[in-house]
Amino acid sequence: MTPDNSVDKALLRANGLSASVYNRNRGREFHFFRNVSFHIAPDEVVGLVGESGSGKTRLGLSLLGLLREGPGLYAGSLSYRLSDAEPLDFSFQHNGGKKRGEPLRKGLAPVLGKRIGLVMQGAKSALNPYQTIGTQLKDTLALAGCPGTQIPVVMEQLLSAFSLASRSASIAHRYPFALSGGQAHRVMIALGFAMGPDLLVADEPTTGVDSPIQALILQHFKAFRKGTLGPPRHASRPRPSMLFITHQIDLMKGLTDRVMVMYAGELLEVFHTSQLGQRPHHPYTERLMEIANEAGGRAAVHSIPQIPGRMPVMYDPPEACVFADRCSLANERCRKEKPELVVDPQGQGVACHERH
Amino acid sequence: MKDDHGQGFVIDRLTVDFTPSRLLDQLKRLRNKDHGVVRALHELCLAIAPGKAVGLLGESGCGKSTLARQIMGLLKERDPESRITFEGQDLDKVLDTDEQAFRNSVQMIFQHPDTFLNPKLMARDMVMEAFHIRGESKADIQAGRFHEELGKALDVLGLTWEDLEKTSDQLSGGEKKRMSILRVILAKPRYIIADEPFSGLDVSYRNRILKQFEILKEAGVGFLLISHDFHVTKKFCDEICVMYKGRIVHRYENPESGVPEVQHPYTQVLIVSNDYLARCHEALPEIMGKFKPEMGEKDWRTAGCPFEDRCFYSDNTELKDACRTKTPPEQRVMGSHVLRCHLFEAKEQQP
Amino acid sequence: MPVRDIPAQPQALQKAKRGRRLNQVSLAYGLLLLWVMALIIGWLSTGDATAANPLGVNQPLWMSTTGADRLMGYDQLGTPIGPMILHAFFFYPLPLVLGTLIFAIGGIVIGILRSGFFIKLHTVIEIVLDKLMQIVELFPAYIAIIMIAWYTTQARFELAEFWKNLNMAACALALLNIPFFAKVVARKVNQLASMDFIEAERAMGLKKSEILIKHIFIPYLVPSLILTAGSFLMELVFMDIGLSYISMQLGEFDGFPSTGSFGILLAKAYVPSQFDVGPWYFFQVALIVTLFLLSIRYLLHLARTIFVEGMTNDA
Repeated sequence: MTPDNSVDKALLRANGLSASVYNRNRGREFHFFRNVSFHIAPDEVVGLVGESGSGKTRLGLSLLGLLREGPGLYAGSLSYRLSDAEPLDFSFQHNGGKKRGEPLRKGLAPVLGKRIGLVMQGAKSALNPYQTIGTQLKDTLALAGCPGTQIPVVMEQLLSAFSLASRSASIAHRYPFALSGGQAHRVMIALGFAMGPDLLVADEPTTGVDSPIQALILQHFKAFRKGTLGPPRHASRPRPSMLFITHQIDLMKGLTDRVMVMYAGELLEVFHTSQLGQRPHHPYTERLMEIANEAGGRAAVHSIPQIPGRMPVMYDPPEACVFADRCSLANERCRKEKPELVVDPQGQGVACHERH
Repeated sequence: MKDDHGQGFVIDRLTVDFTPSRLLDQLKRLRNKDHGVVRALHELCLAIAPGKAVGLLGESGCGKSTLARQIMGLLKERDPESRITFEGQDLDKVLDTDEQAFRNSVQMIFQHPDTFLNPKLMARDMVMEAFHIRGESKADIQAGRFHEELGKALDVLGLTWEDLEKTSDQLSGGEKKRMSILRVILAKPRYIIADEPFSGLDVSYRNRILKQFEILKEAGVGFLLISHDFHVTKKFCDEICVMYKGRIVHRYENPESGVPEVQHPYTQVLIVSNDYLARCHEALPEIMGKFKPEMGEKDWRTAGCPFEDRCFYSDNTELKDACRTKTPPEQRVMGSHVLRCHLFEAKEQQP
Repeated sequence: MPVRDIPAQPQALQKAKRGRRLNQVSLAYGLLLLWVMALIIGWLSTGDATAANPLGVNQPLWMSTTGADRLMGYDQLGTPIGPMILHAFFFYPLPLVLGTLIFAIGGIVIGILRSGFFIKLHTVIEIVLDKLMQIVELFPAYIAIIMIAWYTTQARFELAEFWKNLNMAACALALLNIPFFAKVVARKVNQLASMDFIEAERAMGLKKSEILIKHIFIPYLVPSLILTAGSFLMELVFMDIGLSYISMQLGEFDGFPSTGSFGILLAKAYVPSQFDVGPWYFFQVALIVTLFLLSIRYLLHLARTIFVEGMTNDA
């Protein structure tokens, strides 16, 4: 790792993280992600962009020790430097068929829900069906250490911010089955904010909702980062960091400080959002940006930018550049040699032979 | 729709009510009230012509999927006043006399592939159904006469032959979606009703499918593209209808640039929010100041505009009363735009 | 869009043409168990009625004879045991299979009719079918009525004669059990008919009969059919073992019992007084019955894997 100050003080540092699951029928390992190294500094929002199946959700869950299947994490190390908590360090080795996620889950148990929060995908199934929304919110706030007198105030604030208390009857007394999909989605995000965490992992919080509501949700995330939404924080604690997982690269501009681009279980590029378009990018990022920025209108349909081919199957990921098959710049070297992601002191880097 | 050309779908004043349960139905009969009856569609007019694409914009819960089911004849209960005609004939009559021919020519892409593919069947079996429906003989299918066609379609959609050998619960959400699109494309229909075909798909696949749709459209396939994504509809559709609470509030010919000259307040919200997501300014656009995440209780049966509670312009003193008490009439503005909003009424009166 | 080379006859499709995968392990287990069972039956039911008894009590004679005799010898009445076992293997299952078939087909047909997915029935027929399906719930009541009638009239009803025909017994039991299965089928079909993918298939243009067979019957009903029919078959086996042990089997012909059920074989190997001496000898009876039922189970499992695609989960 680089001797940069920000990296040393990082809230979370992952080094060479790899995870897989063994498929008995195929007799092979299915790789979720391989050799992923990154860090998240305090008060930093990092975006994780990738298409479905690239392993971004698994990476997010593994940071919370929630990767259940089979071997899970088998290589690399994770270290957390959370406020008011002991420094936590975990390292993983390939040690046969033992339950590898176990120590991480046990070690993280005291800080989960207090210092590390999660906004899950699939809102309806992620809520407890036997408890009212109010109870779930209250419990979450109490667990996160919110003082008892503050709980009703914060609840009221969260519910009204998410337009969950505007009707005659507040949603706090309802059970999850009585909510519409959109309401459940907002409850899920409110629960994530209620934890008041140092690190919030938000897994696709804008997927599956209409664009005006996406805009509102994005606005809530900005407010949470500023500290105007959610439980009160002690002055000694830094503002929350976030890992914002999404497949829409265009959402990154206003919210995130840095963006990590993930493809086929590997990080292809890390860059500062402010330098978007001002530095050499990975061809995949370029393509994504091209699609996001394409001109509208019917005239453009024929020249619509596309990425041909499909993502490699993660049973036997290529030992060369994972994007070589779909890349227009690919040459012989790309198909033989794997490019390294070298992160510079500013926390940026590209894993590509052609672009540095 | 006055011009009754013999081709395509013509939907005239389609009104659909839903009763939440049988119990409520009985209560309603007893008390003679329409308490609890949800109006899904309200006097909706629409036409789908071959070789043209109609885009239907609206948020979830505004009746888009109900409309698609009505067009497909999967949902037959509707107001007696409403009429749906398919190629000059009443849809009910078409379904009674020659359902098979109708199904051969009209196909639908469903929104949620998770529940719309049989989880226990192999993808191969379900894809091969497309050839069967097209009227190809079993011998031809088994002899592999369509392998080349299938291979090309698979390649366009980013699927492999191995994916065909999986049952649909072994496929990922995106793969299922593409599998159901593959099925519809292979069935070679004359009309495609696409209900949110791009939700849950990655941008790279989205653009490839959009291009495939464009090719089909040029070959004369009529499209109804139901979506909540303004970005997609403006690229593909010839006509765009913006729907709110089961009624079309703004219909216009899609200009080449994709941005309509006249905008209904709701259309404006949709366009501006898309722009906001792409540019990500610091503050929410002003027009979304009153916009709440949920639709209000009010619908088109009561007087007044249902969008009033979320509308930026409804606080305007001149309009306040009109918005609350008068249902906005349909008006034609700047040639191709048909709107339902008091804002434009006021504008027309002023000069 | 660059179109990559398309294989002329893709491997994946060739592979699929080989048909559904068999579960070889289940097949092996089932056949092995059947073979072991045959061996034990042969062993048990062989012996010499007059042989000397080392314990001085009436013990089963297979204990004192040599292995060769045990495997293919004669029973206590001097009947050769080998042909009897062969006979049992080929003809014994017939009445049971007949009963199971009546049970399965009846249940499926009535269930699908009642579900109303395929044909809309006249209301009167629906009511009749509903009443028929209630037979199961009323079963204890029927038995009580028959018992009361039987005792009060003192009719010399030869129940034993009736049950002597295993075919009759199996069919009667099947008919009584049909409503139970029909109910399960009707509920399943109704549940599936309201699911979205059936709607999608209808929109796609498949006929109702095609949907019923391809999307409901084969993937959803056949597995439950196999399970339910399998457990019904086991029920019939138990019934037959019990009935034939107390010699209520089909009449004998050519010196053989017309059904070579286990009950007969066991009855020939044991004498009632045996139970007083050493009840543990009946361990072998239990072993045989268990083995038989286990082998049926494994063969059913095999059948299920043939019909149910996607049971092998490789994601």
